[in-house]
Amino acid sequence: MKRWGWAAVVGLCSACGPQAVLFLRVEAPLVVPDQCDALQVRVRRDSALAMPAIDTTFSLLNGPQFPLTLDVQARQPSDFEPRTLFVEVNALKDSAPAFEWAHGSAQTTLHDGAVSPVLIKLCDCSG
Amino acid sequence: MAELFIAKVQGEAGFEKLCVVKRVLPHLAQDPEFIAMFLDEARIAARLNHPGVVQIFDLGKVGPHHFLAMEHLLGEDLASLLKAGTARGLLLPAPVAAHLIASAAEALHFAHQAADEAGRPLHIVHRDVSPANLFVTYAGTVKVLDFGIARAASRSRHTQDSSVRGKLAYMAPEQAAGKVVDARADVWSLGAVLHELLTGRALFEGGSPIETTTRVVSLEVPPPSATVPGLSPLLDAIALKALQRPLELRYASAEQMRADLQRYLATVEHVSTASVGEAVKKLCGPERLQSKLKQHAESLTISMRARPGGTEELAADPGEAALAPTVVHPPAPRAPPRRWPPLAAAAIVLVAVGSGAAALLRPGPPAAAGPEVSQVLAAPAAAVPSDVRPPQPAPVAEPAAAPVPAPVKAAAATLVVTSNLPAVVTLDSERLGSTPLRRSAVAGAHQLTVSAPGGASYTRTVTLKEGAEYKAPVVFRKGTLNVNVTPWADVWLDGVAFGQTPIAGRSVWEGVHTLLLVSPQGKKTLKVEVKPGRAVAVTEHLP
Repeated sequence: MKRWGWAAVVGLCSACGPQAVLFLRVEAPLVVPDQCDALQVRVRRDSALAMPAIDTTFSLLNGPQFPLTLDVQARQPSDFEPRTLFVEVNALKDSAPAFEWAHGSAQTTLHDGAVSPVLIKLCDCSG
Repeated sequence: MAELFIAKVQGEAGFEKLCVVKRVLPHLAQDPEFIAMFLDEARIAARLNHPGVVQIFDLGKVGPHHFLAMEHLLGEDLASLLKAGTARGLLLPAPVAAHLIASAAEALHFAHQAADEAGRPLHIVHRDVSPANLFVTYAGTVKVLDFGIARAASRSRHTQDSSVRGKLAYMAPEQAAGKVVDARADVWSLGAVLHELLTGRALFEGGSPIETTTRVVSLEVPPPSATVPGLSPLLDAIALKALQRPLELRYASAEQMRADLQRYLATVEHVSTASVGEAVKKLCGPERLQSKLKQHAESLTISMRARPGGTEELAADPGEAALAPTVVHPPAPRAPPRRWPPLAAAAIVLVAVGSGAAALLRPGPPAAAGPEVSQVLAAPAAAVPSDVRPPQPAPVAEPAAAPVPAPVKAAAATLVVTSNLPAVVTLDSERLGSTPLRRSAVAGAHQLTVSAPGGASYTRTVTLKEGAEYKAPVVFRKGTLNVNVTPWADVWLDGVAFGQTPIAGRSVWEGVHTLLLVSPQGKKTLKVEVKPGRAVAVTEHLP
């Protein structure tokens, strides 16, 4: 992908009303699909320990390599309420954790009618 | 931990009765703790003569094999029901969920109040109440299953209060902490199940045991209506009270919780047992229901086909599933204590077959009568050793008898599914797992579906033959995707950024994909089907 497309998306949201949009940028030193073939994304409300309001898996089998961007859709408006969300990403290979270190999380605050970009870096920091 | 068989007991004048025989797996037969737990399950459940507790008919040991014969149920455990509902995007109606939990609470309260012959409380706590251990028949009757780790304070010889058993996500905090538990631990578990039935989400389930435990201990429990708006405040209050961590704030008994649920039920349209059964069938969906009934019917057919010289007939239920009866043929009447010698013989046949000795079976004389069920099961723990039944004549010890065809252990076949993409395997609408997969299944014709992410799916009718292995290699293929948008757009394929238009000649796995086109002018979502070896072009204009 040439660029993130933020300009496009921000423009879109300006035009599309009050909906909040959550885009997740994931960086990882992983090769798709040999080392990672899916990303599990969990979005929690209230606290990092709350039950996930969104628990979804993005298949990477169609070729995008890291870094990549995910469009995290709310199934219902309440999934993004309150606006402070805890986002967790797990890199998967064959439905299991790709590597012990291949997970990350971040906190974000959504704003109506705007893109809330979240950047999560997965890295093997052990050495 | 144990395997289940469907057994048919025959008696005089055409008397027939189905039951489920639960047999300890061979590798666990030498585990004294497991055997003790298995025997405790029988002893405890046998004391609980309540329509809401699965009925135990017999307990015994043949050779090294312990077995338990119990009521045969046809319906769904709540875990399967939730799974089926999730797959179909459905939830049970809240009044039905309340009715189910109220019925389970009644049965559990009965267990909590159980006393010995002298009237001394047994202090039974189930300790493993979870969706998998709550069963609802297609007729709408609720049963509490598996008192395998229940503890009767005065009798247990193997389970220490401090040992943590049960499913973490439904375990009361005090139980997770290894503290002494009482009936209120079961109340918490019921609250967790109620919450899940109402919301469709496991409240405390985490990504790991540690995370689950952390959530059990510290998660601020949201009312169910926070997830499913519109639920009655009364239901919210009941769920939250059952899930109070301070014991003094929780319901003091399952009966109190049941009473509150009844108060809620009094505010809604009457929920009958029949309507519960209908709701369960509806949630399962016609395909799953037909599959279950078909499987049940096949089991019966197998039983009749497997008649070994007029003695008892057995049909193994190959579903690893198990461990919860998948059957119930009309709920067994509460019969007075009766003798079950045929069952003892059935168990012999079962064990002999299971251990590979089927070919050596002989049509010997009827097996020696075992003690009466009531005698066996009501005996004090100390008097119920593992070999509680009188010695049974070993089938192999009757060389003089003429050989008969070996009974059919089960119409079991092996299904092996592989694919070049990780894919989900479904057999007759029941999700079996992901590829590569090797599973036993009932022989016969089935609808096999293998679905890859992205929507590619192959469905075929397969005929599984008893004792044979059916291999189903599935090869998914790619097609080509071209996307052109005027003036231009960023493209997202199945939620993952895919590039910016124009996109030409991108290789994509077959299936139906979701495309999101985004530009400053607007956005558009559309479905596109990519066929193997074909090119598909998407041309759009975003005004």
